Amino acid sequence: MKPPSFLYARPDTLEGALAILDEHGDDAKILAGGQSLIPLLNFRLARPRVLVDIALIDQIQTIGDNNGTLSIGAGVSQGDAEQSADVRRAAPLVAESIGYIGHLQNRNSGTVGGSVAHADPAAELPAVLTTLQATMVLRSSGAERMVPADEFFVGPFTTALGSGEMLYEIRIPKKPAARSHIIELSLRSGDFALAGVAGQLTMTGDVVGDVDLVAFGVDAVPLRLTEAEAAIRGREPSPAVLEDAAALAASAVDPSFGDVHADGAFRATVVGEYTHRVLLEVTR
Amino acid sequence: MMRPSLIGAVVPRVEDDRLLDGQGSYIADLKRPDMLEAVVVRSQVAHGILGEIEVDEARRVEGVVDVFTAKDLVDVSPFPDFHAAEFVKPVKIFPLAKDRVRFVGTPIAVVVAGNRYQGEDGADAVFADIDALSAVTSVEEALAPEAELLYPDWPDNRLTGFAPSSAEVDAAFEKHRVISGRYGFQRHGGVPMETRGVAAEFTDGRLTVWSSTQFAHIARDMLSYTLGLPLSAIRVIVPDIGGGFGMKAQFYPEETLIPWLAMKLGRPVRWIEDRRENLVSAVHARDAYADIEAAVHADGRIEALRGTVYQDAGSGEAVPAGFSPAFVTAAALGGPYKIPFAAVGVTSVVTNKTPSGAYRGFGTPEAAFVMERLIDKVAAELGVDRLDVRRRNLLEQADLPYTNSVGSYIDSGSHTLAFERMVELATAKVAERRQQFADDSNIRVGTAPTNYVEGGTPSYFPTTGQWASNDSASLRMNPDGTIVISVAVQAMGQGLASMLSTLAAESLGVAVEDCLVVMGDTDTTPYGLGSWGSRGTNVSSGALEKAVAVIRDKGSLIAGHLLEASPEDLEVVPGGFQVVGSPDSFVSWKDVATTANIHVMNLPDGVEPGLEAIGFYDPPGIDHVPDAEGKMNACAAYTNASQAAVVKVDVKTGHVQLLDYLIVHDCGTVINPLIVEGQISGGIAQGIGGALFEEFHYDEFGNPQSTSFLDYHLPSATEVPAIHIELIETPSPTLPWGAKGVGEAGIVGPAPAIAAAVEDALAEFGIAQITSTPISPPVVLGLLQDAAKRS
Amino acid sequence: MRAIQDPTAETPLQATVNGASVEATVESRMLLADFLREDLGLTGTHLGCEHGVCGACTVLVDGAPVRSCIMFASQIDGRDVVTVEGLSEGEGLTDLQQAFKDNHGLQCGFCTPGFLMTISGVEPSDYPDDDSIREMLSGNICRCTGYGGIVDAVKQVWGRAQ
Repeated sequence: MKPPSFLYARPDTLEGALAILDEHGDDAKILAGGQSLIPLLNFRLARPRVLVDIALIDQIQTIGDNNGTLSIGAGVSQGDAEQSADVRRAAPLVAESIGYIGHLQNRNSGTVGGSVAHADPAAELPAVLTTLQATMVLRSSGAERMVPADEFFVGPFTTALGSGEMLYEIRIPKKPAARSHIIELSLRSGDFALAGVAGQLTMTGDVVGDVDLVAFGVDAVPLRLTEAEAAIRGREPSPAVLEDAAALAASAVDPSFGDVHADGAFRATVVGEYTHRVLLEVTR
Repeated sequence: MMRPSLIGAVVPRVEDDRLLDGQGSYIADLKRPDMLEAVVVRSQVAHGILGEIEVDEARRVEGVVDVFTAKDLVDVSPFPDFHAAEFVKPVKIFPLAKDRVRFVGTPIAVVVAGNRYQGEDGADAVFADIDALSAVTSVEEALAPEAELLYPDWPDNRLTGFAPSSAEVDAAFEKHRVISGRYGFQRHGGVPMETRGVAAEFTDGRLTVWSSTQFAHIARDMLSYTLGLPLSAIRVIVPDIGGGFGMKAQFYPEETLIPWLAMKLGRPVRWIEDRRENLVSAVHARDAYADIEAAVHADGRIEALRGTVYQDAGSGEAVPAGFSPAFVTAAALGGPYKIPFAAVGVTSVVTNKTPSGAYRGFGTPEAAFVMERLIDKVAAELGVDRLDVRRRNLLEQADLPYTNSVGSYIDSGSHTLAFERMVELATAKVAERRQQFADDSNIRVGTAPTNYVEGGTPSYFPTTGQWASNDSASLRMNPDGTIVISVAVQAMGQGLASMLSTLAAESLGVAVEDCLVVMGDTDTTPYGLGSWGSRGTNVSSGALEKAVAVIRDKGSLIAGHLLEASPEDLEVVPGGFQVVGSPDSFVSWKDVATTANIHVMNLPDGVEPGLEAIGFYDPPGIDHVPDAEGKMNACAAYTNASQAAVVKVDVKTGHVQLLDYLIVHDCGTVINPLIVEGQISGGIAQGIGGALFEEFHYDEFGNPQSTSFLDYHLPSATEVPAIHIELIETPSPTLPWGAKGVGEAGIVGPAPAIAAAVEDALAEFGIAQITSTPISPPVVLGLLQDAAKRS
Repeated sequence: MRAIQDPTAETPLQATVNGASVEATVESRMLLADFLREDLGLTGTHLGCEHGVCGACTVLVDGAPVRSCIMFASQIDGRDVVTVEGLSEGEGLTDLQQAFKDNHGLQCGFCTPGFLMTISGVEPSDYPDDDSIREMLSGNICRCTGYGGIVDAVKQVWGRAQ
């Protein structure tokens, strides 16, 4: 399984990368950690004419904690993000979720931006960034565009990135009073999720204030569990309320979304159960 | 000074240092001058009529030297089919498909290029016109009246089978209560870490072929048949093998194709299978289920078995043919139990899937699953404790030797002893684990002891229609007293070199480090059948024992002469011989061997020069064909084991995880406990893979869905728990050293053990019985949900 | 690591491999594993899947275990690579290799270099118990041993009680 031929570039400026994307349009792909892209090339399922290696673009390799926002450069490795004190403090859900991504070897090479741009429906980071209401910063030659996570993932393996655009940075609003948790069910450690739920919740006194609940592995894109969220927002997190929310979460999953490993009805059940467990954890 | 016996000692393996240093030499590491790389083009259609294959564009791709299809292979014969047509329908295999393709993965063309990258570029440009036919994708579809026929000259899609009948069985079923079920396994297979590979070169009229194969001599025989060369013109060399597990005890189309290319092009050619190819074109296994009935007494004793094993043999295009495990399943059902009568037949059908072939266990895992599940059903329906049902049927010492209902001759073992010990161990372990998880209301913990018997060192005749069971070993002592042992069994990680060195060292008083073991080269090893069926230790040590005896006897004649003592007064000591009880009268093997080979004028009268011998061995007590009643003892030895998996089940998701795996195992004399436990552990891990994770899925058009490790799930260190092994040694009374073979140990147990353990964990919910694998979360959750609806 | 602004089918690379300087121009699509095996003759790194799952191809790049089957040779420019051949520096087995031998942590040896490199590239204190050791090992697949011997080897070389 050897890749087809391509032209390789390794610009050391963002502008240089964008210029190549401009010139080659859809024939060019960004090479970040390669953990998703290179297997596709080895299978010859993808045949880009040009690969743009972003390893030398310093601007996207940094993590910044500015006022109310945590910024993670698209080129930051998953391993670095998981270990980062800034990420652990400001967006602990990101750090928690990275441990589920593949295995340590993948996380050494793979990047946060790469996983996000790949947009696998079973991946953790797209769901987590949706949960955290992150904003993706997209750059093209001479322009910058901000796209909220809710609008960034448009289909399986498909994002809002247009021709000539690359993911530059991910900005996460900090919520110091929030609790967060992610649970996923996979057949083996490191596998893609059969189903998972990520949640973030802030109490306002005795009642639930803000809440974000997102399921993944059960739809084309991360599935925000809006009815479940609505059912607990402003209410005391009693057992009955949480069970009610969990049932709404389960019924939000399309039972026709399945494959040889698990059918949709099963995934819906797991989403209901894991919503319950996430809520128990973040309201404990 | 006597050295402690090496038998049963932990002796570090002689194989390890170079492998740890990255100095292993596997087929993909081979470099020959001017070597070309081949890429096989395979059908992407499961069933169809093969028309024109366009290769001209491919020939023009940079780096491509040439492209060939079946019509170029004019001087190649199809693989010989040794079985009589009445017993098994003939299947003609040709290295490249001629007019029909019968599974996705069928080789249809081959591109030869400078390297694999270029070869795949060329393969991208090969276009085959295939007229698709309906694909048959299950046993039911294969047997349906209007089914598409894979082989139009056959009356139906049955490859082979038999339907035994027995008056005693019928009488038993008239008289006793009948309990029945259907139990089966999903398609999965050996999937070693190293894929297949073949290289060849033709020089000075001699063909040299390197192949990652478990049986060099059989491969050479097949090359002779297919290429029309005499055996003396062919040399097969086996490099280090990165795992075989039966998947490499097959002779594949590529093994004729690549040598043909080398001869055609006059340059060395190599093909290294990639993983996607491996998952669709190397043999699959285990795709079988049984409809089984037991005639039972009220206390759970089983009087008779009746039923049929149905096997999906894929396209049937495998050599040795892939139906044999189904026959083993039918014959192995009795396990460690005294079941007086049985009439279990086989129906093996062809479908448009990858051909089925060998995989460690070879039908015994299927048998153990069927039998242990049936016994658990008997227990449940009769209201008898499942342990007691087993006790009432288990072989006890007084029953041995025991010839079971199909003729298997179990001469020794510890069936009841192992079982009771496992009950003790499992009861303690599950109590500990239940305590650990007592506070988690989503978790249930359970375990359930189960048993199996594994036959080893079998006849190859039922499987191949050609080869039997013999093997050989030669031993040469060099003038300096070091030894070369040459055997036809094949190492693939199971430590044969260490084992043989240990036995030679033990017998002759030489150092393990002074023994060199040569295998995997038809030029330098005597004829034999290779490694499969847990035979490696038995047949090679049996043959070695004979050669060792010659060397020791001749050595003592020479030593006696040098010491001016009678050979009867000598004993073997570390490094040579001495007069019994007299350490001053010592002569070294080096002196003996120098005399034998060089200073031959000092030999005693009547003793010829040389210190070299060859031993031939045929395992005793094996039948190669059934008798008039259809019974046969196909194996030279039967190991037994009892095992229990301690499982943790999340009742809200159906997720099963293993906390512990316990096994009490008896494979007779243990030569090297490290190696024996390693074989058991590795087999258990594969059994866990089959019970919980691994499956070759197909869609209704015969398209394989498990074409990468993202879909075919091998267990890792987090899925395989700590394995606790206790060994019992009940030596074989007939085999050398009393060792019964352990190569297929372990893998037989996990599926029934895990199924029963999950049911134990979920006992309070009243779930229906688990009847198939893999035991995935959706399956378990479905059982829980169905049980909830019923109540 | 040097910049390449114009997309090219052939990439120059300068790297350190097992302590030695290496300089080459490679086809851009050449995988790191193939560069090590074919161009440098370091065949101890094995290919088991070529899609980043089995771990047989694990090497250290700048000290971190990575999957060389899903990395291009081009990507090691300016970097430091260690393969299994670079572990012992020709002076007999390392403690880790000896521990594998002592505990029967290998059988066919095909996955072994990958395991050795993963274990060599992690920080023991990040894996304080058996469960976390198994998690650390879960990115390398072995089909022969059932993993018990490998876990024991890690515990031996890390000075943990067996």
